[in-house]
Amino acid sequence: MIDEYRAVDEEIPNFELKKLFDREANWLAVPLEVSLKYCTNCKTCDKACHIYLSSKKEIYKPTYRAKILKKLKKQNKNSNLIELAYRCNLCMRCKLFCPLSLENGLIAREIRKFFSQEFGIAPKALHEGTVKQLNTGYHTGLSVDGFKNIVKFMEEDIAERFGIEVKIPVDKKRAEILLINNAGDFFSRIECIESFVVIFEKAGLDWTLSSKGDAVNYGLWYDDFQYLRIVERHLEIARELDVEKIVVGECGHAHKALIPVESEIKRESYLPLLWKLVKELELDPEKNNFPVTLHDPCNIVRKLGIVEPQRKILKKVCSKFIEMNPNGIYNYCCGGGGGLAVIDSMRDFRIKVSTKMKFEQIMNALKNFPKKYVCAPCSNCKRVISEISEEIVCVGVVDLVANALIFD
Amino acid sequence: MIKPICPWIQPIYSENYEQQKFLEIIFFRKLFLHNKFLWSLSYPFHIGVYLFILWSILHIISVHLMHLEIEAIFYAAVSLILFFGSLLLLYRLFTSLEESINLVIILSITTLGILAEGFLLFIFHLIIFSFLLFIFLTKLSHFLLFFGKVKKSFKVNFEKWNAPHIRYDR
Ligand code: SF4
Ligand code: SF4
Repeated sequence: MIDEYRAVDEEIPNFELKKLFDREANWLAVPLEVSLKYCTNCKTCDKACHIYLSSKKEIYKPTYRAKILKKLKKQNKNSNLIELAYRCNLCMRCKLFCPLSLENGLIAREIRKFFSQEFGIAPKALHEGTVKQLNTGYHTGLSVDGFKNIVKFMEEDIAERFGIEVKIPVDKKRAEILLINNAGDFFSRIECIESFVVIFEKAGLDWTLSSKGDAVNYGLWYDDFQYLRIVERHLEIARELDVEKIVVGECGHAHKALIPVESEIKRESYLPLLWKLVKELELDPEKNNFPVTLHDPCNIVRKLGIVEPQRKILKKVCSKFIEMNPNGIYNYCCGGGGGLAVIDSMRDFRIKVSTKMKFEQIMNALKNFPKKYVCAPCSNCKRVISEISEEIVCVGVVDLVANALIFD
Repeated sequence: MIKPICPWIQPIYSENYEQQKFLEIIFFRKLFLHNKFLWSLSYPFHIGVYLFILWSILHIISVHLMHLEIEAIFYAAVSLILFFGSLLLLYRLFTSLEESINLVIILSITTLGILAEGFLLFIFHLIIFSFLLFIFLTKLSHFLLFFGKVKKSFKVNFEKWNAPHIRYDR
């Protein structure tokens, strides 16, 4: 046992890692090999990893997994290897610091993939999530009727909160924009979707929601096959509705999963679009007159390079925007990246280890204020950050924009 | 049909990727920013290697641009840099055996190189050069990473993996 936490509960059989390095079987064999072979052991990545920084444990070093993996290249039975792979947020901050840009995060991800694709061993929350999503369209198993009820509820709630009547477009054919969101938001952060509705309606966009599926793709974190199947499903929904483009809502990993793929269907992040709308809409920043800081989700910022739009938006809609340090591509992961946010058994690990650096950052940025408002443009980040402390109030970029809107 | 591109192996976002790569090769930017101690030890060594390679190239194309004495002085200077550079880096004896062996070899050849003159100097030069060629085969060839291109699109091979869900028909 490497530590007191557990991500998977299955028994690990004997395994041979050969497949992981077989170029026929694994299309990521080359970067994996390169990352194992060329590490010069300079330890620069140690200074990047929030998990190591907050715990100072040898086993949480970015290079530790590589060391074990090299030893195990031959046959072995080692149940620790898979657990080690789930002590990483796949945030790629170590890659940013590494002089050779080696991929220690990828090593963790490939170990997860090996166990999932070879033995079907993965944390339940992740695998059940992908299976449910492939069956119903939602990783939470939401049905089409359930979805329609939620839409009705949203319409009523918007009338109450904003005083406007809206008809939310669902499965509208040939719309310009198909907005996809994290299904978790439909249950626990419905105000986020409502904000989208209010902004899009106010701006008069030609858009639609889909009842066929949400944006989540847990496959990204642990399994190529599930990942690809879900990507295909997302694109299929867009094809059926014959929309012009998919806009990915407030969900970081959905950005990373869907946007880099090559396809005839256009896909983009909601942030540049929102910035365009914010420039046109009538807004009152005094409505958000509390100090608020911005968390940068690794998937959107470091991995996709969307850094400026959210800052420009916040400067425009909040009267007291405060940057945390470090920020932008140098941000620390919230502590829930790489699926750790949704694995319930890893809650203690999140609280005691992985969220610590983020907590410190937030406290430093907002130390003089009793309530810590953190704007996090990602569903999983919001979930994890609000778990850290009761003082912290987590909001999305869309929430702040919707709150600043002026209605006649 | 979608053409999947690996979401994992794209370069990490930077405004000026090419320019930063250049800064990385010439100044070891990331090491300087995040690990100054190691930078101060490894930078002299690498500069020595760069100068040496430049010098060798001049030799190979037989351009005796300079007077023989100046050339000898230059060579001695490069050797000195390499010598002290490898000496500095040798603290890594404690961290990596393979690299240390390479360093010790460079160290001994440069020591002899500093002492040598004339024809002997030329011979030592050749030895170092062939040795540099040899270490390209070891881990020290890490510089190649800056020039490699990663294949981006991929295909998953259903036949090769055994987990039940790989073949499950949704
Ligand atoms: S990807 Fe992030 S969490 Fe994982 S080893 Fe690197 S810095 Fe640490
Ligand atoms: S920074 Fe890169 S080369 Fe240095 S120890 Fe980490 S992975 Fe290895």
